[in-house]
Amino acid sequence: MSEVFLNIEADLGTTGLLMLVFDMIVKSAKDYKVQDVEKFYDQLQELICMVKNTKPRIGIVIYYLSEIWDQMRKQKAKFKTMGNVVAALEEIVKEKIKETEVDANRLVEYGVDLVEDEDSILVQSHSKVVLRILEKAWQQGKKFRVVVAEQELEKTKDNIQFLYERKIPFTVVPEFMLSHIEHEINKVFLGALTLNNNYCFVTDAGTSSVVAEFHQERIPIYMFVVTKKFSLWENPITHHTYKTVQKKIEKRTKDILTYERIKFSHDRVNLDSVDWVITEKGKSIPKAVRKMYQEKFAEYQEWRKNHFCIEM
Amino acid sequence: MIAIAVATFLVSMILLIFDWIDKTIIALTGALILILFKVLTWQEAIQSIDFETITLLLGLMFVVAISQHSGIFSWLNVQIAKKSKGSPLAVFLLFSALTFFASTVLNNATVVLLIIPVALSLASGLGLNSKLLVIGLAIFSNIGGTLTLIGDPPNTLIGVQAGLSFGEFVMNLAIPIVAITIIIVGYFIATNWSSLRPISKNIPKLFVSNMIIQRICYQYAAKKLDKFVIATTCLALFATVVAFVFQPQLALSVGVIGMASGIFLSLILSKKIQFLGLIKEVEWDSLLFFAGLFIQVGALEKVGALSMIANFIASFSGNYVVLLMVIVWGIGLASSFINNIPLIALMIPVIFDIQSKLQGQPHLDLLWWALALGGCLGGNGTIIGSSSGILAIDAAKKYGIKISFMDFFKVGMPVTLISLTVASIYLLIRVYS
Repeated sequence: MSEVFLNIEADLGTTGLLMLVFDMIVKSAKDYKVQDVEKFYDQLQELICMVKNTKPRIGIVIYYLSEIWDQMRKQKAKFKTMGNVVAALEEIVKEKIKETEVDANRLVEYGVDLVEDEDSILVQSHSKVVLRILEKAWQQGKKFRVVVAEQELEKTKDNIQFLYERKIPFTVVPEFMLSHIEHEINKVFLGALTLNNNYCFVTDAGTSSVVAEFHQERIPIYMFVVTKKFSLWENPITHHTYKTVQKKIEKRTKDILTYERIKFSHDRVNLDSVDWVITEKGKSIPKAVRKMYQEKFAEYQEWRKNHFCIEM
Repeated sequence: MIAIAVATFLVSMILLIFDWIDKTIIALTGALILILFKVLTWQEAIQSIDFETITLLLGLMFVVAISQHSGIFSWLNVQIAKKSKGSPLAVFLLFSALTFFASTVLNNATVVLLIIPVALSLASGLGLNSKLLVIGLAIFSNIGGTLTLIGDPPNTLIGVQAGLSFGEFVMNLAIPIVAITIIIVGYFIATNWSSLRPISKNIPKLFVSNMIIQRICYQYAAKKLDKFVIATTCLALFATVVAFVFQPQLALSVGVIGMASGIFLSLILSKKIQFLGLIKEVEWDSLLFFAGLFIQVGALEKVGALSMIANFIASFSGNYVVLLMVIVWGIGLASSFINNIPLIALMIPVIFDIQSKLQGQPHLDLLWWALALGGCLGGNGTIIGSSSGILAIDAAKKYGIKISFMDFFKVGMPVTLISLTVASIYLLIRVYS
């Protein structure tokens, strides 16, 4: 399950993953061949438990699945057949999709307001929200250009494809060569998977060095994240790495170099190293976000007890 | 001279078994030694090369390269992923069937390489035994390849040199291959039911499989495949098979049909697929390997070594049934441990010799089918028995699935024993019918 989630998150981003989870939970319920409602509930609980334990935990997916589980549990008594169960599940999922869209649209609106004529905006993350902001701002006639920091090939390709198809002017620069053009950039737009309780954003690999560089140069960094993506449990500081030993044949000689190449799937970015955090609630400074997180963390104490068995 | 020719061939075989040096270099070095030691003249060496086999393989390599570019396999893989609905049994059966049928007309090693990535991405999320799937696909590609003249290189060698048509291969091998396939599928299901049973009563498994299928679908959708290229490639494959079936009526050699297929398809798609790119994808090393091998076998023939082997095998001719069994089991078991291509290349002139010694004996054509069945099906015995097995294991390694010699042997050897038993029963029925 972890590997599947990690791969899809890398391809589509967290929102894309969430939408797929919504669709597939309904489809799986429809494909389920047992008519025993009790058994279905047991297995749904098992599934949600598995999702809660993926590595890394995807905050927004856990949040919504827990919500779905709570609502399904409340209605359990009135279900006589599996047909009723599936219909109710479908209805709840529809509501959740709407809710997600409302939050994302708010985030986009706030983001568009930040774009001004003559801006030169750096993007690096594979963030659908950031791309939608650029698209909408361009449609509104704002004249700006984009600098795409080249990170993982597939993710960068997606960003390039998106901008190219919408005729938004852009330049691509390898991530490790950004220092040569940083004076041309006046804003940095980034997306995050989550905000942990150690006040670190989990982001695409490579974001950390981009933030460090532009933070030092005092070029404003905007991080886009909905509050439902906040991880409302304690997180150990861990990296999710893939170690692969590759055989590389150098040119056409017979020498074969064998070495260990370690890849990291994500980065961690300190909340205080960004200038602004944009949530569905608006534009906030890191200090305000810290407070927002603390309040939400306290509010979800009961939820943690219910959904993680132990207080995390 | 005979000692040099035999020693060169034996050393080449040993080096091929241990895979220390590239197979093409081994074959060409052996050929060069034979020329330098004047076992063969340059003219004789060139004449030993069967250019019809080489041109047939070259033409088919163009077709395979274009098939890879066309995206037809991506499309087929996605359709299978959708149709399977994530059921491990359906994944196993559908991918095995695709591998089997594709291997009848395309190089089976290439087929395995094109199918394994999607099959593994589905299998890993479904709890299906990935090792079993990889080994199964390698095995079914060999079984499928055994059915036709162009499915597996040993068959191509036999067909071209013995003058057997595509239709004759299918007519004579369809019954044992269908029987073997059904029995082996049953064997796989019976011995691996725990990992193949349906998942429709398990929500977590259904969920994961649906997620994986969706991922395969969106990855495929992002590829922007060209319908014209796919349709043209399908048509060309169909036309090639039809041309092979009607080869006697067309009065064209299989080499000409293979080359025509490759060249016409390259011409039609010249604006879509770069010819220079296709040229690079031709397995030139394999073609040179065949050339070197033909020269080495030519030398053995010239010095009379093949006649000696033929005499030895023909000593069983007092009982024709025993002779057939010696060929099918001897070649089959030998093919499990050594490369079947040089073995078949060596045996073809031997079979000709035996046939000349057994003039008047009915069912002499069965010697070719015994050779084809033994040579191709024997390759399933071990990890090193066939090129599709070796490539499948290498491809699986990229996905973190390590398959040892014993892992493969435990599945492959029973399959080989079953296959050779069925092949033997078929040959016995043909002898006594």
